[in-house]
Amino acid sequence: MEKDKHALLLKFLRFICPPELHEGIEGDLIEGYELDAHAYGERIARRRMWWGVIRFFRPEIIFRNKVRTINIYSPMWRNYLKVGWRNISKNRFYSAINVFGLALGIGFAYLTFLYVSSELRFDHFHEKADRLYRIVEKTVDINTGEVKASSVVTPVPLGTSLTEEYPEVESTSRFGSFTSVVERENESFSQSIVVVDREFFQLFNFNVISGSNNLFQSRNEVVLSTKGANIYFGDRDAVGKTLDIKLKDSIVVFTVSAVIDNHSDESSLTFDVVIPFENFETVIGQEVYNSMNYGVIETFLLLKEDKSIIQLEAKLNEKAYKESEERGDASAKLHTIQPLKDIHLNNSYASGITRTGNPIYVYVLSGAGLLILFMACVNFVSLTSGHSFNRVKEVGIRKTMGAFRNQIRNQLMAETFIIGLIATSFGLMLVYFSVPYFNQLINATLEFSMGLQSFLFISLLLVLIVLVAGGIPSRLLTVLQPVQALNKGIEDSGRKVATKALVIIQFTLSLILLIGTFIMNAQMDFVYEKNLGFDKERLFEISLNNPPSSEIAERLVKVFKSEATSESRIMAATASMNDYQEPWTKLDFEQVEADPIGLYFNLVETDYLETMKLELVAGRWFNGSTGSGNQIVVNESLLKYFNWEDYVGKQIPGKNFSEPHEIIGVVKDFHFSSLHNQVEPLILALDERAIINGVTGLTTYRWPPMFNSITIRIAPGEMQPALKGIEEVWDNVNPDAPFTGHFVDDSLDAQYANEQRWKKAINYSSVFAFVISILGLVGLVRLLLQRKVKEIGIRKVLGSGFGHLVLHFSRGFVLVLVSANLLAWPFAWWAGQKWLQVFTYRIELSAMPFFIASMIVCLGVFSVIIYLTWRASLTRPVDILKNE
Amino acid sequence: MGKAYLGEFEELVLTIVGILQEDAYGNAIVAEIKDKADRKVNLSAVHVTLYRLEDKGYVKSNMGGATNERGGRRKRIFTITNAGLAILRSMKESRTELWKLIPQLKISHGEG
Repeated sequence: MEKDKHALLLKFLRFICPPELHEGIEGDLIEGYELDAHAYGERIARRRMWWGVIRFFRPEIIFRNKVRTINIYSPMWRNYLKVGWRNISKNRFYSAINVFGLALGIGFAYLTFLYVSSELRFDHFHEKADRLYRIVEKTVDINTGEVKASSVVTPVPLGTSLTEEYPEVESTSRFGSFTSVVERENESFSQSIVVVDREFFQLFNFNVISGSNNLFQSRNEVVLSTKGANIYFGDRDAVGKTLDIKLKDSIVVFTVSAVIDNHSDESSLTFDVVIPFENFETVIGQEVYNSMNYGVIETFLLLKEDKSIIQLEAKLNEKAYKESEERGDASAKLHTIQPLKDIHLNNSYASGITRTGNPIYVYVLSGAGLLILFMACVNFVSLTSGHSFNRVKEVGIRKTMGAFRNQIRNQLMAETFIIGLIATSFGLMLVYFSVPYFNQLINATLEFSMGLQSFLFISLLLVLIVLVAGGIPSRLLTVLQPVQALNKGIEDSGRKVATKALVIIQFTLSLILLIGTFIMNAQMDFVYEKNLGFDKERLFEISLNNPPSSEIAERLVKVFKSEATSESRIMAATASMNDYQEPWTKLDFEQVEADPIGLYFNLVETDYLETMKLELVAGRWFNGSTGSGNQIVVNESLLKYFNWEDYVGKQIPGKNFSEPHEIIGVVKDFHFSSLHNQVEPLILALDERAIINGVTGLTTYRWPPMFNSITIRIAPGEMQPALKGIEEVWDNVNPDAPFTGHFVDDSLDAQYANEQRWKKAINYSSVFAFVISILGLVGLVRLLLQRKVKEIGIRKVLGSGFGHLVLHFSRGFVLVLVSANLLAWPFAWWAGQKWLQVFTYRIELSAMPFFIASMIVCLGVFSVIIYLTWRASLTRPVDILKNE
Repeated sequence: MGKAYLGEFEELVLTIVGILQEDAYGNAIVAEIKDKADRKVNLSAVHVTLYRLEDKGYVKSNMGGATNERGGRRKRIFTITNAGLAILRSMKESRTELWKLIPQLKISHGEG
């Protein structure tokens, strides 16, 4: 009776008490309850009993004789290990499946660990990393507080004003970058060059490898990374040598003052050639250099010790609010101060000059790692507990001989531990050999090393596996009463359900991964095949390497085009300001009664339309006649953006326009940025003066407007000779400049390189998961058939054919498969939908991936069953049945 | 006192075990402490102390016969060992020694 009354409570008590103490404690509690009930009534008695039980939840009780057992029975543990080893080597098949599965799981988990910890350590090597911050500029509506835009690139003068006006700021450094030509012994290279303040080397720990420690004393110093030094000077000592760097229209001689370690695999700030910041003025022009309106560089600051960043932020923003109120602006430019350590894995801002990682991949990989490990453990659990049917006799005898329950448990734990240890060493071996491939796959620079952290991780993993994968089956096995264990006729139905549930979970996970893989592949193919609005095939772009002035650029283009007419493999050629290497220029226009608008812009030539194979949907294209200086062509998105029915007579609505412009035509939308984004409103013009007087701000890689790139459509035929032809033409026209070009479809591919790599990583992990779950199934089915050998024999004697047997044994798995599918589909659908939302242009989720994944799993399952049944039915009934 | 040492509560429980003889189990000890020392103690505290005493070798325990009152659970009966008796005695003696050292008559002039 009491048992029913306190069932839950007593269960809890049983759970926390060591078995040898349990009865005495429980009896005392029940007795106390009865006395209390008699004296004070049921309610109070019950309450006291609850309290009494809870008070037993204390370490002296819970851990009693648990920690100490190991010391006391150490000879016993030696025995466990010995017997465990015998068991493992006796059942080689299951042990092999278990070891293999766990090794895969552990290996994958360890790789994930290496990757994730390297991602989390990013930028941590700077001594002052805790006090280093980057400024993010946010345009906020004064009235509503809504964030209109945020940008990590900030104006040039910001940094200096911060150091001067705010005592909290110890020091700042600006960080800018431009692409230019570097010459060395008559050889010229196209090189990305970084400009920084002198303070940069005090703020950040980029150690000097050779050369001076006192850097940037003069503006003609250049600092190289080891890689940079290797490019220009090979093995020779670079310090003291000179490099000719082109700044705008002049060539300046720089002297190498030091070679430094740029920590390229753990730093967000990347550089190979660094020159003092003052030189940036020559590159971008005085106006931009001195204006607070153009965001062109990143600003880093070092906070004084014991100062709060929140206070500094509040001060900055208070000032910004005041200033815009005085000016009567509708929006204010606020500053958020972002910790340096946060930069790598925060993707809430569009990337600037520093490179960023993607936190999604950290999640995806950790998820996949955990999942595979989990599946390997599930395999282990279901196999061991399934297999333990064959060991019930052993357990029964051990029990009758007087073994305690925990001794049997220890025995099983010891076995798990041995298998876990073997699997760990295989897993580590796997990692050791696969790290290079893995690095290639996800573009990382991981190293296999066994530091303290790794050691702790692996040990923790092993303990976890032993506790989970060894604990569950031993628990199932040891609750058996000896009689039950010895009497083979009784089957534990609870355990059967548990095994089935595990198999269902496993196939559900496999299905989800497979479906996810198919959806991902379909989307990536879609992105590849998507009509871009222009013809990306056989399109080649040559960079003009920052021509010094627009006149020179125009002359260069003209000469090139006239030379190109003689080269038959060049079908068409044109020039433009923006190409497919970098994001296009975005111009801001202040409006009279509305928010400022940002419109993309490209400076083009009359033959741009024809070369790119764009489509005109209304009006006409430029005809190149005089007087077209104020004409522009826009894209369909621009009409849609302003809700215009027709383009005729319309003006771009900017309040600063002093002269009218004329929209002469509309082109069909074509992609000029990644397919992640929608096609944005775009203005094309032959002459930037058509709209330049209305511009109030801009975001760009190229300024001032001039041709930066020649685009060539290559005639049908072989590519290699065509490329050679183009290079010859270029060398005739411009013998001094390097020939740097690329195919447009390659640069488009490069935008998706990340997705492509991760697609592969996901493909591999889902294959792994599937293999593990099939392995588990092989083990389980074999167990099932082993137990039913006699049944098979009898059925065969009674005239059952092979088909009947297969049918009979697959029946049980139909339910498993159906449930796995029902569980997996909704989740996969939800997750797939979520992932697809990242893309503006995406596929509709169809039934196809679901169907294919189910088919693969079903096929896998049934072929395993058919094969194993066939093997089992090969034995002659006589051999099986006579064995009693 | 040497190495052996008993806490105040341990000493109390051990004494009660000695008093109760054949009938020393959890609840009975709680009740006896309440009765003799007028102190309310929690059952779990008594159990933990008993196990600790058992580890130290001052009591030993075995399971009694089943009764109907306790939902059929047997009692864990504790009995004091010779070592337990010895330490109780030595603690008592050493305390008496110390007690003797306190001057028993205190005359305070201020009050008189």
